[in-house]
Amino acid sequence: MKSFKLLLTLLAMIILGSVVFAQASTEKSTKKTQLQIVHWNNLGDDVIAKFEQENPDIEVLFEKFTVDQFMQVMKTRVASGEIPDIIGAQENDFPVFLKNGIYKDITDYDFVKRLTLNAQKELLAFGDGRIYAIPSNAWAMGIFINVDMFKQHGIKIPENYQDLHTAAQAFRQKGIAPFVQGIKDSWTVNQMFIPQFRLQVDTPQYYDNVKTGTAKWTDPKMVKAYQEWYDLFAAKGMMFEGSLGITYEQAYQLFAQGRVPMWPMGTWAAELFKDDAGKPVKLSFEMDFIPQFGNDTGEEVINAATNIGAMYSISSSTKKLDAAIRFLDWLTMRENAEFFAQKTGLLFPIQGVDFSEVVPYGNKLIPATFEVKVLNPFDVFVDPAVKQQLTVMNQNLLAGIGTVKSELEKVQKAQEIANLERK
Amino acid sequence: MSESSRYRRVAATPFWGNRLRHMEQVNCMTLDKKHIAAYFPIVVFLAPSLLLTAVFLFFPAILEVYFSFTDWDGISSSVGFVGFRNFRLMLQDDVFALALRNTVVFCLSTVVLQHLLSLCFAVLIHRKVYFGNLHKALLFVPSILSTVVVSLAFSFILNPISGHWHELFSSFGFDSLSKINWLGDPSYGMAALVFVSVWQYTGYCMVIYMAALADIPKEMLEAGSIDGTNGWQQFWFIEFPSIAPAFTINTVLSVIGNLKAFELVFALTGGGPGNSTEVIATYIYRVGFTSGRMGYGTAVSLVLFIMISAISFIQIKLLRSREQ
Repeated sequence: MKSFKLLLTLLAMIILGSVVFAQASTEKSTKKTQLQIVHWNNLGDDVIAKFEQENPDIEVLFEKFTVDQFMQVMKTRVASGEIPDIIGAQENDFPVFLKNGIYKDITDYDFVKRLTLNAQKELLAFGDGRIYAIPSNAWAMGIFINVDMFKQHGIKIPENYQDLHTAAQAFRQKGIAPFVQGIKDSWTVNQMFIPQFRLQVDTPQYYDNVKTGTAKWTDPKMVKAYQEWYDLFAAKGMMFEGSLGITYEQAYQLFAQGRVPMWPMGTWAAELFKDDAGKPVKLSFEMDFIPQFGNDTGEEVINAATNIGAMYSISSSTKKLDAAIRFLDWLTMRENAEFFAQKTGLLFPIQGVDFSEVVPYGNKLIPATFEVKVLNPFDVFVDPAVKQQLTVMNQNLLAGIGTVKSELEKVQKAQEIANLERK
Repeated sequence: MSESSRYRRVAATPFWGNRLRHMEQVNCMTLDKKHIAAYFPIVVFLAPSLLLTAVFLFFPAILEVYFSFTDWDGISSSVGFVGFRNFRLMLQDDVFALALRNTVVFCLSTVVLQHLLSLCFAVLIHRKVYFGNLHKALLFVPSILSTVVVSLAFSFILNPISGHWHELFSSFGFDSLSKINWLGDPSYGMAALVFVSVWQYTGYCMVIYMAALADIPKEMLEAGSIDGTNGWQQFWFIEFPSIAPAFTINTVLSVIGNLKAFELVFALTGGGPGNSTEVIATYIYRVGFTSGRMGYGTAVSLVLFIMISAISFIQIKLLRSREQ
């Protein structure tokens, strides 16, 4: 019995010793400030390594989610009170998060002044006169085109909305599906709202009006826009066969292999034009990026774009404010911003950064993003539940389910519920 | 036996069963120190699991009932009470009706196929087929894989452009077969989900049936063979009735699992294209998280909970009566 007691005491001492030792080791290893960052855009291992090298007292813990998952993850983190120190922000959910005090006001920090003036202006308008985030990705909607295929088939490269329809029909008549899209990832479907954007250009308040009930998704204007959308993308032979079962990355692969002439996607897709080592790839054909024309023939080119489609915000509840501020300050320095753009392929709107040099095909992306008249994409103004229904509608129409009219009735129903819940 | 001697006997016995039986006899009004001493170890041992269950199951379940009557968006600290509005909206919600229908179709198809196949495999392996252990292992392995891993593997296999399915059949010249878009065509999406689910869990059901088959007394089978039963008669009149309790628990668990199927559908088709493969669990996720209608989402989940409870109750009642 005595030896048993002795053994027990010894065992207890070993366990106690291990706990004390583990505690001491943890304290030693956590001397660095651990900065949690969560985003759907890549931050880049090289960027993190460079920051940590220059700021040895900070360790960056970066988590990346797909854009579909990101907000869902954020909502659970907010609900559980475990908000990361720096969080991704996007215009759709920004107002709700702002209203709930999730973001810290960073207007008065010097690094904000390094942003391009357009970005600052857009941020101020979005944040009720204050700035709560820095944009990491000024993006434009557009269409990646295979110039060689256009030339080979003698089809004119579109310069306006009508041209786009003509070119698409010309490819179809030659037995070539003009578009590819990774429709399995539902968000990609929203990159094809070209006629809907035209309606917004024509009637800027239209999508605000549907929220108040003074306009409807079933109005003749909208039915016409969606019918045009259907003719352009969902009619037989317009979409590459199998698009409904493939992802964003697989759609890029098909485009990069030169199998499809057009891929409607935003400028952020430049992140894919890289090899496994992260070096920009040179496609085997001439590639260009054209706007999603909101203009008719003979009118000034207008595209759907924004400076604030993807942002970094500091959590108002962070206990590591100093480290978070240091990170954003470091990231917005010109040489670091260039490094970030180079590694991620994102158009980081910092004054003096030359994207044509640092982003794959940057010289092709800049004209549609910064050199034409732009308007925020219409879905920025749409309720999340309605946007969800629009995505479903697009997928249904592409899959041959329902008609434009019946699907728009479902969207209107979702809008009415959203309006009711808003009240 | 006097009262005090009975307490001594209870205190001395190491078996919980005896203690519990004793407690049933004790009038609550007569609790004294000795009774408390008898209760104490049970309370201590049960407390951690009861506490965890309360915190992670009962409390969220109560909260769920509360939130189903609100318009909570999942973020805001302010929550508005909306009475039965969420439940009224549900009655007019076409997507909810579609998701409900898809859930029933998915559940019924999967359960029927899974149990037919698993019973066949279990009986065949039990009757000593060649390489029985190998077959057992091959059939069981998919069930120990993560559903997400299985879904990812099948999304590669069934990819309409570069998947193995496409490669295999196009290499043999079966072009129309190779072009079937299993995950992107609304006509085939549900079939693909049922196939993958059956593939993954047939082995699991089979193992439960095999365990039950192993418990059947040999004398019974021998008696059957003396009476001249053939293979089918042996199964239908001896084996199948004998494994009735296993059949009950196996099918009840399958029905519950398939009614709340989420990972497979979410990872393989995401409920799409459109809403064609939407099931209740993915719909709850979609409205709650993507659309920011957490109040409505919890109301739908409450309905799902009630539905599963009712179906399981009826199923158990029916199958138990069959066992009798």
